[in-house]
Amino acid sequence: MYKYVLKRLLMLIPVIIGVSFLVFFIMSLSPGDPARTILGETAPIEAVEALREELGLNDPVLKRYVDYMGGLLHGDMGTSYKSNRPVFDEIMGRFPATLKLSLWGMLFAVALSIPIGIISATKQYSLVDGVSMVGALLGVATPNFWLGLILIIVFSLNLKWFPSGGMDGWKTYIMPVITLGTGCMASITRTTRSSMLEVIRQDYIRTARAKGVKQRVVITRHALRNALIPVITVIGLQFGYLLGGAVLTETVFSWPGVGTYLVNSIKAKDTPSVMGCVIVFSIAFSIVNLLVDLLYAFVDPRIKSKYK
Amino acid sequence: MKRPTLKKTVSLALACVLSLSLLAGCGSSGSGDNSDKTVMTIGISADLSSLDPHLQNDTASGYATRHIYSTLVLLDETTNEFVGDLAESWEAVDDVTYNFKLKEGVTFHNGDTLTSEDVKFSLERQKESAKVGHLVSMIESVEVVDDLNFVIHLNSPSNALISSLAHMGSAILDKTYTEELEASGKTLADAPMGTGQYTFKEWVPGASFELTKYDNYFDPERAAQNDGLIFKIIPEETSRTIALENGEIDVMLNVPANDADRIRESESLALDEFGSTRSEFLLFNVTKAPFDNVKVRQAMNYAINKDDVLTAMVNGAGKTTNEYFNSAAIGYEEVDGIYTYDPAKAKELLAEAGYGDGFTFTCYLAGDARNRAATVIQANLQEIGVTMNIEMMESATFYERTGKGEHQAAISGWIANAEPDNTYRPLFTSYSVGDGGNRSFYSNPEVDALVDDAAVNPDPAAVSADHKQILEILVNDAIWVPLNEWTGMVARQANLQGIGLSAIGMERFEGLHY
Amino acid sequence: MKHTHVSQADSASLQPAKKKRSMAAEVWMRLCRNKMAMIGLAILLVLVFCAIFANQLADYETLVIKQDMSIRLQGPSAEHWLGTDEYGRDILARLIHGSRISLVVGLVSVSISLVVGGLCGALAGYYGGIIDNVIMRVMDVLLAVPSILLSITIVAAFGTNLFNVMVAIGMSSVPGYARIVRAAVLSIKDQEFVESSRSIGTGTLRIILQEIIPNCLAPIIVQATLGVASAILSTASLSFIGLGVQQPVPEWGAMLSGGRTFMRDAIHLTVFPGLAIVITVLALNLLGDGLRDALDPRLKQ
Repeated sequence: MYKYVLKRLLMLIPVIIGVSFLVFFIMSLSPGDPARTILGETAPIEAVEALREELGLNDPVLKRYVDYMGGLLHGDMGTSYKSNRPVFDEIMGRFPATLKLSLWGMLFAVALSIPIGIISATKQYSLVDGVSMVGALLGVATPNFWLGLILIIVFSLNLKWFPSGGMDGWKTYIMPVITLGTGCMASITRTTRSSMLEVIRQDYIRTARAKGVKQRVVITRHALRNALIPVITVIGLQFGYLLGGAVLTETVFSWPGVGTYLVNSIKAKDTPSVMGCVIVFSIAFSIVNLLVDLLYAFVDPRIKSKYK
Repeated sequence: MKRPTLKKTVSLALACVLSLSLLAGCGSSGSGDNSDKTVMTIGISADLSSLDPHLQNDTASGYATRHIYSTLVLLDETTNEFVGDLAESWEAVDDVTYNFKLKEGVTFHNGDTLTSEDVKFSLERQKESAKVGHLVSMIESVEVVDDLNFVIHLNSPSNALISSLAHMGSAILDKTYTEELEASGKTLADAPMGTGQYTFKEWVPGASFELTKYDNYFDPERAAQNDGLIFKIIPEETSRTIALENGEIDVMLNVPANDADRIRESESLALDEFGSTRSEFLLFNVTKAPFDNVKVRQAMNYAINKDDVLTAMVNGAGKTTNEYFNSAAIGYEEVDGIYTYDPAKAKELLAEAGYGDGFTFTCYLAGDARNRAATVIQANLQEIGVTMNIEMMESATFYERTGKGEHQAAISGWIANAEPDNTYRPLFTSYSVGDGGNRSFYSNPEVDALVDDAAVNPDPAAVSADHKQILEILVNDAIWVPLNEWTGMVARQANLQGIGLSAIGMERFEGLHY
Repeated sequence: MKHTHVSQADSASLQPAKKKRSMAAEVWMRLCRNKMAMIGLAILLVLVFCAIFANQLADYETLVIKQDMSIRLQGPSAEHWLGTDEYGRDILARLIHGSRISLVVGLVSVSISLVVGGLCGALAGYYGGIIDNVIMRVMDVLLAVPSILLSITIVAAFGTNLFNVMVAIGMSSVPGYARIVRAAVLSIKDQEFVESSRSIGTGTLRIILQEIIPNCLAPIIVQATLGVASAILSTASLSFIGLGVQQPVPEWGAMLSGGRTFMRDAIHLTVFPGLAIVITVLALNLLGDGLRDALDPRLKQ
């Protein structure tokens, strides 16, 4: 088990090298001058040139990449071009907000969609099933930033129930969490339903039913456990979507997370900040996937043996 | 079966609490009575980048640093004259020597008294800065005479010294404090400290930054009239307005043009409008066909409906212009802009220039407002047979590509500051062709000479004459289509008083109170 | 048009395997029995109709890009059924022409990911070993970056235009296709019919094209249908953060995002393009689900 975890964590290294290479070269080989952006239109050219030199932008790309990776090896993510602050500090100041939003969003989605999925499956083709499936499809089809804007108009502007943005007390969480959660609610509901349907048809469930075990017990004790495996996979995959979707949700709700910071850094060509964010996102994503794989072991003891 | 019942009770209770708090929430939000508020919340659109005045040059950082630190001189925007801030007085001994005297008894937030040594330290530290060092590049050295007196020596004559000292990049730091702080491995950005009306309290990146009133501020007349300021970062336009309407913020900067009418009409809100020094224009690369032909450039000036551009760009919050220098800025001279909206005349000029059948070109730009302007211009030009393709990009890319002269045309803008030379020189002289600011690649020795003279000529009348002549030449050469000047707008709760407006984006908030 | 090209290629590759045709017919029969999928298909046909006859339905020059600032931001009326936008352009006309853009963006970006991802997956699965390892590790890298972030980075870096948007969205979903194709190839490469064509000396490329690809079409068709839907959503998301398609092109996401500054006074600017996106994506999902069920009868009893 530990060996497996260690192996998976070691596999992160080539992924991080790959991701950093990819992003660094996309950022560096495309046109755009961070020095001019930082100083603004009105700064004289000597000042821009001096800043370019100070930031090391006049060095060849490959040298800059090697320098960057050298720093990374020592745990140094570099300094933001824009703020002169260590990228690590910049990100850690914002990452908790993004993580909180994503986790609450996921919790919201899971808490609602698994029960709905189970009910839909047990009452296939009923009204409940129909409504929740159409709802789920609508959830996938709705751009989440659009949903966010409409929530703001309705609940903040007209009803004045919740503040329109910021992260300041539980009231500010509600709309962003719903906005972010809705998109992945849909696919979790659908996966729960279809995997539940599949399990229900299997022999052991029929046997249990034949033995006179109550429907509720059949579902919770016998079926759910097995039906959950694909659901967990989807939850893991959706987490990546959540981190990405957070970028848009954060923009709509002025959420002080790493998503808005990343978009602004990309636009300003603040390469060290972009690299830092993408690496942190990738690590977070990979760790979630690892946790998902480990969760399998608890849900399905048969899988445990594979981790040896 | 006890457990299920317990569970049920708990969840029922939770549901009750939740719905109660929801109901309570309805009552408490919304703008109610705010007259006892002593900490003011200001909604802004972007986060600050650094609290070290030498490491930043952006608007949002300026909101914080302007209230934490002080400069030697200040621009009084009612008279457009420079007045002393930390400086008691100053005089020019000759072209390159200025004597300064500091006010007595000015203290830093930690209790240290301000001396000439602090000024010397600050200006020298600033000169090393890649971000604001260029402002004081004309300073050769600072000579300390005694605790309150010092002399600034210039390396060449310059009319820009005083205005540069009013810039936030020339903020005065505490020498001992900063040196000790940096020696201990910390940075000024983490623990900023100056002589301003407010001490630094907290910065939550991406969310807000907060300042607290400094009780021992040196000038009682300008001391803070509130207990503190919270700057709340709300990038999304609609949300910012809603926050103001709901009373979550007291002041809103960067007012979305489309919400101006709503705020004007609201009884509980007020909109302060003033001329800003922001100008927007369509510029041509005069070294590239077809815009190397002055007739084509003049034709463009007749072809564009500037009223429609203004409506689309900022919902009409501003005024159209035919001139090359912002009418609210220091250094403006009125000249006849000649051109009116006249598509027939435009067609005529195009035919004369040999482009009777029209042509196709690409216009570079960055930003949503400019994209909206371009959409109108595109439709206008279609009328005279000219096809304009729009290429929108991020500003970093825009600066690089237009700096290299890859563009045929571009939509750009400029915010003039208190020093005219900081506008004339970069925009119009051959010294700053390309990334230096002259993205028209316009080169005219006559203009160069006039700008040079205006920068050092001690006679204000001669400087005015120089400026006027430059502007007349530009109108004839039609290197741009000047589009519009924006109205500066700040929105606030109607009963809030004491806001310090500024045409050059240097709003002050120490006077805010209900 | 691009999409006829794709479907020709599909039917061409379906030809060689004789059994395929009757199977396709069977799938079609099953699909017809699925009401939801038929609704989706019907909506899509309407969209395709709009896209093809856009010029006949609404003139581009006089309705879609012609501005009239005097009638800007008007609500729905008899003259302008869905109202006008901030430049006084007819929203319905723009939505109709926008269907072209959305379908092209969807199809082209999916084709990009399909071709690149499919090829990588097929090579990885067929050859195995080092090639497999290298290709799949590259895919892991691409997968480790959330796809919307990857497309934001690409578009922000190389400029916002239709082509870059399509490439960015296409590239960011390459790994999904690579995985599907690789899995499909692995599951069939040792089966009899592949071995038999190898034994009669058929070249590797031909084996991949003739035997393997047709045999993993089912999951790919499903993924591609859903892919078009998510590409339309991604385009809208990019437009929302200002990295979308240029004016005056009537792209739905750009219309929505341009209208959001007027959301409170003229909500139709945001609602109608938003609904167009929702309906299209919904239709594609319905069809995609229907296809999945039809192609995999085991799930549907």
